[in-house]
Amino acid sequence: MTAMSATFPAQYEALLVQLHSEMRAGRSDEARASELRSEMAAVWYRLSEDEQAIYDELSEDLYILEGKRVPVPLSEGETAVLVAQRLASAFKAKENRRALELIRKLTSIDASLSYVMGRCWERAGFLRASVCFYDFANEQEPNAIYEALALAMLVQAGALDEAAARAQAIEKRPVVSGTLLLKVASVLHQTAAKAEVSQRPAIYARVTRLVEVAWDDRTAPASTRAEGLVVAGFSYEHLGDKDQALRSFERAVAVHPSGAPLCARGLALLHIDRPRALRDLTDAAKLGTRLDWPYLYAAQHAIEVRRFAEVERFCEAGLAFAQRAELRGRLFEWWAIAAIELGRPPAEITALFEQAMAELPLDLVLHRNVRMYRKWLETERTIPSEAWEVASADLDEEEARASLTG
Amino acid sequence: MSEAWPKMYRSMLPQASAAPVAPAVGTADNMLGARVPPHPRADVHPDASGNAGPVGEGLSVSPNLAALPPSLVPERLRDKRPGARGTNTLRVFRLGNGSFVRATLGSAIELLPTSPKHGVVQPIRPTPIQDYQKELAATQEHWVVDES
Repeated sequence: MTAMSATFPAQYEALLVQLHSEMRAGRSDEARASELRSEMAAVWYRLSEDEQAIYDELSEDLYILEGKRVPVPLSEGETAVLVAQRLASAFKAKENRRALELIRKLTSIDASLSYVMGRCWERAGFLRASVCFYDFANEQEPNAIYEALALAMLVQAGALDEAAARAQAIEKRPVVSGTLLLKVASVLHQTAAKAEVSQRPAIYARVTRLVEVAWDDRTAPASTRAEGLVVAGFSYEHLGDKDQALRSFERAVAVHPSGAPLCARGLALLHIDRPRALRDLTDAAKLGTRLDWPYLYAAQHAIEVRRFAEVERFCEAGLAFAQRAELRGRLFEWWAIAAIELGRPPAEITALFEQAMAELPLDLVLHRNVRMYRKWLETERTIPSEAWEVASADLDEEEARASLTG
Repeated sequence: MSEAWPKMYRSMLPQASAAPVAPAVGTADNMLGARVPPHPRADVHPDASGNAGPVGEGLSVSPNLAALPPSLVPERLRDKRPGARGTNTLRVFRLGNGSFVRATLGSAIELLPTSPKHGVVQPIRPTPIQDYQKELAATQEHWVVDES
């Protein structure tokens, strides 16, 4: 089962989840349910046979939430113990559809199995559906992790209004775990961008208050604490308090020195302490961040300090994630320059420059570097390293910030 | 005569207090009749003269119960159709007993299969929409409940 992103499947999933929610609330025969069914029928024939089969399976799974589960009989020679063993293997191997098939054979569904179902549907790309199972797990056995996952999936599915409403309700509770408060802070931060400009400062202030209360809760996973501190840092920046922002990023790096905190601190330091900023971004690249832009800064810094083997590594790694032409072109160009300095064969270097030219056909800096390389090929005279023109690595910093919290 | 018509299935609301059970005639969802604009999911779009078809649109039908959209198959039939999620007030009706191929149903309407799992009952020739609705309504007595 692979993730689906086409319009009709996504539309059908949303309708199906809403319909089961109406059915669960005892409104199966009311006007809204009737409208949903009619909309679903209109979309049905636009789905592929495989998609139709998956939605039938999902519908049967959603019946569990209504207490209308019909377990699938065990096959001949199959036992509940065997099914449980196979389920563990399938789940570990991320064979989501197989794992769900096996769960349907078990006699009862407890909170941990509901959670597993949520994970399987989530991994298969059915984010709205996964929320139903995380909610159900939380109903069966209240747990901040289930609730936080449901919030995260709502945000990922683009249901920001629903996520914000839940976040607000959680915020009002007298006692909330640090994990959940930090997740609420992340959700609020994401909703701020959609809010009226006049309302944003109040939302950012709420985010910072929540994180200040919760970030030091050692029962929360370090990654969650760091995520909260990063969004608090960005919120402080929006409120114009750069010192508090940097303090928050410093704490995030101390709590969990991983890609996002390092990148956030790197961005905050870019115009204050550039060498330190580049070190952070280089460290993020060394840790294999899945963001593309830190590799650009890391490669540029490595060129500047003449660490050409590192330039090669950063360019190659960055190209695995980079989609934008301006970024890909620059990484190919710098990789070509590093390849010259490392004495790679001319055919390899030419190929790298050609790929750079294909991405950035009108870039003047690249054209000048290519001309210098061609001259070198003709004369075979050594080019001094400092002769290469290294373009600025500066990207849209707002976009870079958004990539850390989106 | 209608036994020779192509076999087709459709989920519809039953007409109140009809014996034997017959589909309710009308132009709302799940009735024996075509939905027309301004319904957001109109089955037919009459031209400027008020005529419908034959342009490949009309009353939706399927060749068997399993091919019906599951949101229109009553929930009580989940054992026969896994994933069925329709309201239990619906009944699954069958018309005809022949092959699911293009064929006339009387002199004014025909079945046009649009895929192996779906077809439409459309006018044979451009027909005033009211006449087309009357032709559909005239099939009412030939539909039988078949939820097997």
